Amino acid sequence: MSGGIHADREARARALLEAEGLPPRVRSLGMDGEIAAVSAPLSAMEALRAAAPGLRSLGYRYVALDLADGAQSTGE
Amino acid sequence: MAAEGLRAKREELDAILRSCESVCVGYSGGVDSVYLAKAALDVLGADRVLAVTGRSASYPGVQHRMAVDCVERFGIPHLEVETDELSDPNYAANPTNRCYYCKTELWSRLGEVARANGLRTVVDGSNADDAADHRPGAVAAREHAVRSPLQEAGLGKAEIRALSRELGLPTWDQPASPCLASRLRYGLAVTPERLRQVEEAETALRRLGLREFRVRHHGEVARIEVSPAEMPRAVAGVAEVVPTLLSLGFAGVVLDVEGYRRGALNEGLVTLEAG
Repeated sequence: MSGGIHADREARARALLEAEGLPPRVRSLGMDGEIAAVSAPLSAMEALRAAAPGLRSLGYRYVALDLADGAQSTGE
Repeated sequence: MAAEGLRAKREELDAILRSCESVCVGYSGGVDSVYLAKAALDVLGADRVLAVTGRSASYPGVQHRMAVDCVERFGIPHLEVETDELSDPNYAANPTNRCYYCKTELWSRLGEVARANGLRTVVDGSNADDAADHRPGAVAAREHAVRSPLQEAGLGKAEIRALSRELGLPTWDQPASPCLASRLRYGLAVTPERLRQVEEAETALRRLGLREFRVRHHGEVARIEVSPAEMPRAVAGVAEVVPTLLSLGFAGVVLDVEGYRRGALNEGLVTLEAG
């Protein structure tokens, strides 16, 4: 789902997340990589919402918490 | 003043329904069509009203239960017809005007029902607010001479909810529930299997006590949108349903940080259409 064609955008997204104090882990999901799926605990929801406009400016249409990556169960 | 305005619109609706003489109501069991069917029953009487529900794999089971409950409770004459929009390749390809093909099938079938039952006018539950939305289905309605009495009377959603509450309709505060195909990203083929995935995923989320949400189907990924008001409840419980969604065949499950908004898959539509 996440691949090389999205690598540059993902790198910029990671930098943006890091600057916002969020875990710099993101993958591009969806048919065209339209979803920025960020690996973070659910408690980071508010901070991620604040970062959403910046991520969308990179070309993502949707910004979301990745629920199937293990970050939730590990309580990271 | 507001109450007077609402009363005037209600009187206008009654006049429009009387001008229809007898009606075949496109009846989904949603807020608008339940109100319209009940208003038509009150104005025209049971022998001049037939609420007709088109059933297919894209019709949510939860909506069907509400539709049946309302006609039974209020004595609204009701008929169900099977619709077959999924066999239309134009519909199944899920273009941005998918609703046009679905509604073409629906209104064709309801036109047949109306003729067979001697009903003069086919009506739908489109309201005044719908005029501003992306609604290719409205084109099909016009092509089949379907009237929209609520829209003609200038009644918007909030007003229809208020009037529904006055009438004691259980739908007055029901969240909007469009067809399951509306959850599939444009361009992702509509199949019975994908519709089933969405319906079962939403059933799992409903068990958390959520009311206003969507599971958006992006191919391998389920993107959950929850209304901002219910986001705390979602955050508290969503991890419980992730295994269920994965077992339905999704490879990824994500929770949209901006929450539910009507027509979210229409975002970027210009880009899609241009592309």
